[in-house]
Amino acid sequence: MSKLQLLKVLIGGVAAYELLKMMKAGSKTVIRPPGAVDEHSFLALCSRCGKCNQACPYKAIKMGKEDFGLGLGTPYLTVRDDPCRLCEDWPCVAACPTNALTGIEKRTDVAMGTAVIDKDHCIAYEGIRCEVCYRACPLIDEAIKLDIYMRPGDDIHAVFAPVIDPEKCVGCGICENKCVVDNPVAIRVKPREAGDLW
Amino acid sequence: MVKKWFLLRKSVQLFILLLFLSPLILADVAGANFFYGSLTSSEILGIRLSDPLGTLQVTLAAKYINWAYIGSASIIFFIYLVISGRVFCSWVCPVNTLLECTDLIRKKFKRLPDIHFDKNTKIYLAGLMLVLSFLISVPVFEIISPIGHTMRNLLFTWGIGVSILLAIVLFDVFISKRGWCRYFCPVGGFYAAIGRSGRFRVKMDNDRCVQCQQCKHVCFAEPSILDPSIQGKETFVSSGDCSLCGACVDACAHNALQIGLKPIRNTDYSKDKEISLDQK
Repeated sequence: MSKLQLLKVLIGGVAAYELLKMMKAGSKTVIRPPGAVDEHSFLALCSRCGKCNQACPYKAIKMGKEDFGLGLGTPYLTVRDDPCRLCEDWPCVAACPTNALTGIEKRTDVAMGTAVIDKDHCIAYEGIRCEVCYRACPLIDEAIKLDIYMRPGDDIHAVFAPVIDPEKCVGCGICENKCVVDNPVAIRVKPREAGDLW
Repeated sequence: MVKKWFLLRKSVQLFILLLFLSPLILADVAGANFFYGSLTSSEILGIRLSDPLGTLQVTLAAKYINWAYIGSASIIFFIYLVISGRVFCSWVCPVNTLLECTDLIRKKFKRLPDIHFDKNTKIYLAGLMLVLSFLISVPVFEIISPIGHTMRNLLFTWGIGVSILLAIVLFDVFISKRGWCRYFCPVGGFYAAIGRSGRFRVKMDNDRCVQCQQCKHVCFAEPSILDPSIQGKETFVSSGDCSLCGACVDACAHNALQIGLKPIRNTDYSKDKEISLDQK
């Protein structure tokens, strides 16, 4: 390898390093499949092979496009369209060759995110007996409980308000998928936050 | 003349494509098929197979050793180590299947430029990808790989990385004949680096060779790799760049070339005799 070639490779490497670092900063926080390791480790471990996508019986796992920055080709879910059904045998976790998805034995091990209720738009908080998210929740009475109280300024009617326990919610998104309110959806899953890099 | 190797290679390429597409056709849930996955990692009858370069990148990026994953890549690694590294390129790689079409365009328009680069660039790039993966903690080439993008477009997400594929096709058509595969693809570079240890090689019979250079005209890899054999310096084409596509064997009108098993110990003494005769 001549000096000129070495220089070319070196310059290319430096440019690529800077470019890639910028791209990584632009990576999105999204809902990952069950068992995903911390976001920084996930970007390193995920080989972008797509086996989890093929293993998902509900075709809920999608693959990131260019707008994912360095997360291109990594799996994610848009739970409003297709939530995670928390299959008993965890086919996506079993398919992962690199342990980017790992460590799931039971439903409560999952930590994809946490559901958050928009109390201004939730019709249950207005006094309508909706309870759709509560009934749909695979961890009913654990992750979502009903807080029943008298409607303020109303002696006859009660409010059946869904309340989320952030400790118990696994972020599967079935509540967001089933929510009857649209524009905006009254319950949304907030993806888990990335940990510190070191 | 029947292009034996050409037909065999095209059949294998088609078989590989159908194998990867089979989960979409044969099973409701792709993962329940006897085979599923992509070239980065797949599973056949429960046996995991992974791309060695991808595995190296992930291992360096994550700084974490997963023996099961490395094991699944070793199977593929040793298969190519024993046969010949770049057999992947001409017999398996879907990008090569696509880029072979650029050769057809080039046959029609013969005045297109053909810039040559150093064929070892791809090996340096493979090394660069590994270093960058380690520094940035992301398997860098898996994000830009046209092979990965081709698999994704076929299997999961339409429209991803099409610009990269387009750029490579344009580059091969207008700037450099099969330039991506010959000079720049890091996967090809990785396999070229282990290519010399392959047991299957192109064998040259110098008694039959008439130096017509037809083999060099059709060579997929860098044509100059055939020179030592044409000049009678080596019986087996030794360069790691040879992808055993068989085009030279098909093109030779004098049956001077064949693909054969290279003995582990060199038992071909014909060259030694020639030397001793010259000395007399």
